[in-house]
Amino acid sequence: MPLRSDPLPRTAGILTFVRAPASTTADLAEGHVAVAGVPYDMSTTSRIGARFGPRAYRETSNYYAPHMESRDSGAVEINSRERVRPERVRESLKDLGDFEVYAIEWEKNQASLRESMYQVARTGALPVIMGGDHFITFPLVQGFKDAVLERGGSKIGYIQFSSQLDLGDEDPAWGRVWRGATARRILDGGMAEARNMVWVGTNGYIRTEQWEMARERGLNVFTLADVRSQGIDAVARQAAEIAGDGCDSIYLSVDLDVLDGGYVAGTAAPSFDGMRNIDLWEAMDVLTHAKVGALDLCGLNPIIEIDGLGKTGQRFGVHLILRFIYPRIMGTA
Amino acid sequence: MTTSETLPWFSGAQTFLKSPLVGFDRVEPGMVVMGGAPHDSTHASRFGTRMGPRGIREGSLAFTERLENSADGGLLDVNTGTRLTLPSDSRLVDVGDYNVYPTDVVKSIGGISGGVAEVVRRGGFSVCMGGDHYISYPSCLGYTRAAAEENPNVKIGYIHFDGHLDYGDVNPVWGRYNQGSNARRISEIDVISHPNMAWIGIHGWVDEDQITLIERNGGRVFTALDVHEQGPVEIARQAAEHAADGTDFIYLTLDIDFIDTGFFPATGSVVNDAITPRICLQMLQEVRRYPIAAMDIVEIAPRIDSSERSIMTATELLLGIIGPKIFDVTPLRGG
Repeated sequence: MPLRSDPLPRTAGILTFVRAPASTTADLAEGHVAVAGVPYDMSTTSRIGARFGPRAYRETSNYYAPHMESRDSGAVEINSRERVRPERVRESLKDLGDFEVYAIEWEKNQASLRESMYQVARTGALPVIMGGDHFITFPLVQGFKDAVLERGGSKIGYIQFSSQLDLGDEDPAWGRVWRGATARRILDGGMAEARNMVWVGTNGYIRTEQWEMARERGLNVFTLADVRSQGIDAVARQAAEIAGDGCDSIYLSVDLDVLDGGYVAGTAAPSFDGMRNIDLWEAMDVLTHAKVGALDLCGLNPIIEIDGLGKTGQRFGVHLILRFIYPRIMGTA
Repeated sequence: MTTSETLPWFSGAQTFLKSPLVGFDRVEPGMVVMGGAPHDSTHASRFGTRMGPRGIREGSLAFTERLENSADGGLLDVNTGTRLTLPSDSRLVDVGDYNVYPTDVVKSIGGISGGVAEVVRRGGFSVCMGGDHYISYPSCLGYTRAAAEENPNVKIGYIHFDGHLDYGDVNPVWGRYNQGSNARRISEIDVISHPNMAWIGIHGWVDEDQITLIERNGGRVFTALDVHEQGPVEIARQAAEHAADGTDFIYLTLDIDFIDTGFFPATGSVVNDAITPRICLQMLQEVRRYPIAAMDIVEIAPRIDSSERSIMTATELLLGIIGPKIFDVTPLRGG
């Protein structure tokens, strides 16, 4: 007799993402989705706590465990009526646990994240990384680019959903390692060309020199006002086209602070008058059909909204990841 | 009489809107009767809705201050331009909580349904405060039993506001009675007309068997996206028309978890769907034009939301249905 034959209550069991098998890179193959965490938040200039993001996502993801378990019928998305096929999820979804992080030594941390991302992406699996503060995106993009080059590609595009441009250089207190410099490091490092870098949902107050830099360098910025006037569907399509133009793959980075603080207040820098939560999901519906080769989700700080309040962002983020990966797993992307 | 002046809102007995706490024998026809069903051992994730009735009552107290402190005992609804005043003979009473048995789910059915049936027999409009969504089944069972005693041929429609279908049959872990099977159990009640069952606010992934069976049996499901695309009033109207078509009365269940958790965090099963309390209220104000005969409000777990905004919001949502029943509603003087 097996140890258990019935599904567990959602509050029980080992916490992997949607109860996916705990795996290593040796288990990965082309077409798999590889979820991993980066519990690092030392480059946030604001409230520490994003290090708890991966654990929070895994915890809340167990709500979707039935998507992984065998039943007479699977789940369907209520609007599209598209099926989630449990056998496909079981076969394709892997949880690698967390990448090694080094809280105090940035150089060592950067090298670890770059190498880990490279090891995952070179297998042809889709890396889905749960942050962590937004600066982790910089070494992750490095590692992703390394793998794209190894696999015979030459260029990648970059799409960032964030309330900020993150084009800062040196901060008087934080130096060069801070979350406001993420995109600047990617641009200056030549990991993506300016014409293939896209921002969506930029809102609130932006540092003037960063705004001017975006203009001068030909970076592509869709502000929240653009999203509202053109619709998220049209903006996401343009973003995919611009970032993918002449590129082998696109790196997609989502900072949850792009959302209005009313929807998800548990970020380091909540936006006021930010993006509507269901619009960000709709963007994922579009981008999963584009040549996005890696996704990261940063900025959730689950300890800010004490107790249950923090679940708002956790559930939102897990749903976002699933909206993105299911068309890939089901073979409809 | 121990006090002669109005107490601060946070003092005094905590009944809903400070209504009289009464026994069943004081319930009269036309009264709105609040009763609690503090049951949450049938909840699959975060406990805490056992504190729901107490939380809803507490959250209602701030509203009473506005009523009591207005110079002429009335409040103006700025959206409709109407005045609300409490009548001298209160049409709102609170019967306290029904009997629940946390470790005996079947016995709880008797406790809750027995209390609700007694309220309905005496002509009361029953508002059963949960508790997790399981309590909706005994609440509806009590209502339908009393309605069928009066008219064995009564035909009852059903409106289900929720982020989830709750149409599961037997859950391998939770069994026949849980917060995900309440609508299924209700659909099995004789006088409930399945073709007149309507769901509003459903979101995300649902079990394919459930949605297929609902629609095969003539039920209609309106998603949260439908509400955004077609508008809350239009969707509420369509759902209410569906529930009212050929039926005598409608039973209403309001699972507040379909409201975006950013605006209403005090709940166990989190939903992000951009449905705001205002959208919810607009829909309730539309469905109240139809013959709603009893209702429940469920899934409020007050302690999850330390800001307490959820329990305060709950009062205004409830008034969306019971407001005209308990207040004298008149146009503003001078138009």
